[in-house]
Amino acid sequence: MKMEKLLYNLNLLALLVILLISIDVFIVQFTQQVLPCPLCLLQRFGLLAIAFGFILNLRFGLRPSHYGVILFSAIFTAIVAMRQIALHAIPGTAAYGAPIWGMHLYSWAFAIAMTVIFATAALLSVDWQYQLASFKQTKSSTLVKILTIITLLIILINTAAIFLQCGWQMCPDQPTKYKLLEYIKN
Amino acid sequence: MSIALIYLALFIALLLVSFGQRKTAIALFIVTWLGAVIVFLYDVTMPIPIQL
Repeated sequence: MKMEKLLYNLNLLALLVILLISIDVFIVQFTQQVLPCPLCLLQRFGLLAIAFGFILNLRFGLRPSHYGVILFSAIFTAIVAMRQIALHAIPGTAAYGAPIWGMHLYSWAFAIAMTVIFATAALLSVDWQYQLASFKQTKSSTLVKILTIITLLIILINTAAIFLQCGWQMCPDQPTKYKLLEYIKN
Repeated sequence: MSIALIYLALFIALLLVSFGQRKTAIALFIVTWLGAVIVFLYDVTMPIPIQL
């Protein structure tokens, strides 16, 4: 029972960290007035998809398929972040956005995605968690419900911001304005 | 494929989770994830905006 609770709490902690990062990234967008590029938006999507996997674990119990969702999302995030790091590693290309604690957001995204991959692989390999009958019928706590609502809000606000920035089309590589807002103004 | 559409699909998938529709949510997530991969591959095919 103790170990069961520990695994549940680890999933909860991971979800909290991912949500804090997602909120922080959003704050950076508005305080530093930096519009996100397509790759940045895909990395954000990856982080929110990781959160989706943890929510599945917390609401329906620990299952390999839920860990699979987390792993696929983290691998996707890592690949997109690696692509952006590689683009800006080319001599003559400036970095995108201001660094935070010495690293750019895409470097942080890569580090976080790799951490999630290793942590999930470790959690996934704990065999007995899938045989615990009590965990099959998990009653989602109030905290999980609140976190789910926060995640929904983050995704919704992101959707609105992206829609204002790019509409239903692909976003430009170097965005400078909210395309839809400009269109409405003119 | 629009990024806003991908986010919207993820939102609906999470909404399904909160209504207890686990399998439908995961199915929609897989479609969303594939959509994101397509957007990424489209971005990869774009030329790098510098002269090497």
